[in-house]
Amino acid sequence: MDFSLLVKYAHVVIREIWQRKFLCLFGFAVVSFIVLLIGMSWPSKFETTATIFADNQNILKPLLQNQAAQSQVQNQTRVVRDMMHSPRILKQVVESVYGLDSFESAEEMGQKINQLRNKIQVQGLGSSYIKVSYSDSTAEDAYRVINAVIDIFIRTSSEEQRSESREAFLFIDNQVNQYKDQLLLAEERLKEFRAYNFDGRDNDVDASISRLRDQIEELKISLDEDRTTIKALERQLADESEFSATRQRADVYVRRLEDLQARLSALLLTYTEDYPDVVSLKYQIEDVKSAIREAEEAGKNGEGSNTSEDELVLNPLYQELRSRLSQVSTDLKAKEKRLTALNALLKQEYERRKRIAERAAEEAELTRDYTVTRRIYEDMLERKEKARLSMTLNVEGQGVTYRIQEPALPPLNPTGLRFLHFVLLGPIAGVCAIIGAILAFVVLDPRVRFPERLQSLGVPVLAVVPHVNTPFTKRMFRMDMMLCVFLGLLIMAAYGGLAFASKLGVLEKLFGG
Amino acid sequence: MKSSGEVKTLFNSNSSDKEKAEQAAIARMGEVDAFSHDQLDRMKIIYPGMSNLKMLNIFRELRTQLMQVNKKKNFVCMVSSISHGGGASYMATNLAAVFALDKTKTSLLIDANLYSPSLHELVIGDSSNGVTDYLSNPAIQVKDVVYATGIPRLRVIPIGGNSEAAAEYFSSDKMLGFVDEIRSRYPDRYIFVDAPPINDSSEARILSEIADMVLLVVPHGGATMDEIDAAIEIVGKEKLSGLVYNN
Repeated sequence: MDFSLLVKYAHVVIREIWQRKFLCLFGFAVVSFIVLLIGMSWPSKFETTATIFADNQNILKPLLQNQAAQSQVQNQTRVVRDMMHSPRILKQVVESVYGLDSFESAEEMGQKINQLRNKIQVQGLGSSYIKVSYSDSTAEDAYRVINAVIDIFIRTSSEEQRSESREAFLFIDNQVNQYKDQLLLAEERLKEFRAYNFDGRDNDVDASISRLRDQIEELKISLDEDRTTIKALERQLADESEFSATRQRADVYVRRLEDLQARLSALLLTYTEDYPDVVSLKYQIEDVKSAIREAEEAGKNGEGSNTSEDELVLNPLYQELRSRLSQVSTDLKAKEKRLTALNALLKQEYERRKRIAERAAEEAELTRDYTVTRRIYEDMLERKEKARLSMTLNVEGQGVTYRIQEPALPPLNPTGLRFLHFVLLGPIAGVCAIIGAILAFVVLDPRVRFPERLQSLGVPVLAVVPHVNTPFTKRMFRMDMMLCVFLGLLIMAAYGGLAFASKLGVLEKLFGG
Repeated sequence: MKSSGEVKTLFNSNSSDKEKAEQAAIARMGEVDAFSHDQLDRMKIIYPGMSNLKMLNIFRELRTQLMQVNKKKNFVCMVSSISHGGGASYMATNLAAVFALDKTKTSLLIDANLYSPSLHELVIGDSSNGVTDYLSNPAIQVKDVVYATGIPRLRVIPIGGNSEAAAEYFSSDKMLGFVDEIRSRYPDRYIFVDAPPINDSSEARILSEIADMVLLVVPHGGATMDEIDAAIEIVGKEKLSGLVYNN
C-alpha cells in the first residue's frame, strides 16, 4: 500500500468520523469503559517458580560401574511432571495447604486437584535441572502451594525409591533361594545316576573292543599258520616210512663209495695210478660197487617181506615229524578255545556299549538340568549382591535424588495483564475500534468516496470541486471541535476517576459491601 | 454599471410601451447592488479576487471545458445531482457566476429544483414570480420572471409560487419555447438550469431533453457506482458533457 493511498484513506476516514463525531465519541467511551470493566474483573495472577536438580551423578557411580543397578532416568522432566501431576501427590498437597476439612465433598476436592494440575507447570532446563512454576490469584497461595508440591514430591520420591530397591532385593533374594533348592536337587539326581551306572564310558568300551578285535585277528592268523603246518607235516609223514632197512645198507655203501672216490681223486692229484694206495683204493671201490649191486638186487627181490628183524631200524625223521605234528595239533586246539572265549568277550562289550548309549541320553539330560540351574543360580547370586548394593545406596541417599536448586520465592508482583495495562489499553482500544469501524464502513460502503473511481465509467470527469467552508461553517467547526474536546475530556475524566476508584477499592466498599 | 444598463435594455425591449414598468425596472435596477465579498463567501459564490484561488481556478477550468464542448456558442446547460443534497444548485450558481465574470458574457440561472429551490436567495428584494408562474399563467411575461442578482451579469429565474404540476409544465411546448426564446435572443447569454436530482425525479429527465448539455454532480459519499451508471444511462452519453465530483 503506497503512502498516497494511505493518506487518501486517512482523509476519508477522518471526514467520516467528523460527520459522526458524537456517535464516535459515544462508541469510544463505550469501548474504553468495557475494557476498563474487563480490567477490573480480571483476576490478578501471581507466579512463582522453583528449580529442582535431579542428581544422578553421585560419587559412587564411577566406583561401582555396573555393579549396582541405578535407576535409569532418561527423561527426568517427564518423570517429575508425571509424579507431580499424579493425584497421589496432589492430594497430599491439597490436604497440607488447604486442610482436610476445607472441602465439603470429594468432588470439590477433585476439582481443586484438577485446578492444581493445570496450574503446575514442569519444564526441563537442560539435562538435570527442572523448573516448576505455579500461579495463583494471591501471592501467599502461590508460595504455599509450590513449597508444598516440592516438599511432598521430594519426600515421596526418595521414599519410593528406597522401598522400590528394598523390594527388588527381597525379590531377588527369594529367587536365589529357589534356584539353590533346584540346584541341589539336580546335583542329587546326577549323583544318583552315576552311582548306579557301572558300564563306564564310551571310550573305555571302544578301547577294549578294539583290543579284543586285535587279539582275535592275531589268533586267527596263528590258527591258519598252525593248520598249514599240520598239513605239511602230515604230507611229510606220509612220505617217510616208519622204519628204514635195505635202503639203509645201500645208502651206506653209496656213501662209502662216494667217500672212496673222493679219496681216490685226492690221491690221484699227487700220485700215479700205479701207486699202491691208488691201486688198493681202486680195489676197494670195485668191492663197494659190487656190494651196492648185490644190495640193490637183494632189495628188488625181497622188497619189504623178506626184510629181516635186525634190519628193521626206526626212522628218526619220522619220529621227529610225528612229535611236531602232535605238538602243533595241541596248540591249535588251545587257540581255537581262546578264539571262542575272545568272541564271547567281544559280544559282551557290544552289549555294554549299547547299554551305555542308552543311558547317555538320560545322563545328558540330568547334566543339562544341572548346568542350567547352576548358571542361573550363579547369575542370581551376582544380582542379589547388586541389589544389596543398590539398596544400601538408596538407604544412604546415594541414588537418583532430587534437590532444591533454587527455592521458590514469594512473588512480589502479579504477572500477566495488570489493571494498569487495562487502564492504558482502554482509550487505545476505543480509538482503534472507532477507526477500525469507520475504515470498515468506508471499505464496505458502495458509495463513491474517491473521485478516481469515476474514471472507470467512461465519462469525462470535468472537475473535482473541493469542500468549501463558509465563515459560518468555520465557526460551527470550531464550536463543534470545542464541544468534542470538552466531551472527550469529560469521558476521560470519568474514565480516570473510575479507574482510580477501582484501584483504591472504593467501588468494592460502595457495592461489594 | 454596464450590467445595470444591459438589464435595463433587456426589460425595455420586452415591454417597451409600458413606461411604468420601465420605471419600476429602472428602480429595481437601481436597487440592485453587488453582494459584498463577505456575502459571497457566505453563499459560497466565487468572485474575482477571492482568497480561495483554487476554487476560482477550478471553475474557470470548468468554464473553458464547457466552452470547448459547445464551440463557443451559447448553450443551455442542465446541472443535476445524482442524489439529494448533491450540490447541484451550488454548482449551477458558481458556473453561472464564472461565465458572468467575462464582461462580454452574461448568464442566466433557471431554478427548476422543485424540491429545494434556493436560487431566489440570489435576488435582492422581491422575487415572487418564477418559471412555474410563467408556464401556468399566460399573463406573466418573460421579463416578469427574470431578476437581476447581486452578481453582475448574472440573472435568475426563480422557481416561482406554482410548483405543484411542474413536470407537466416542463414538458409543455411553452417551456421549450421559453428556453429557446431566452437563448436565441442573446447569443452571449449562457443558460444554466438547476434541476432536481436526476435519479429521483422525472422533471430532471424532461429538462434534460430541453437542455443542450447536462452536467452531473457526484456528491462525496452520496452515490454508488450503480446509481451513477443509471444517471448516465438516463441522460445519454451524447448529451452528458461530464461529471463533477463535489467533495
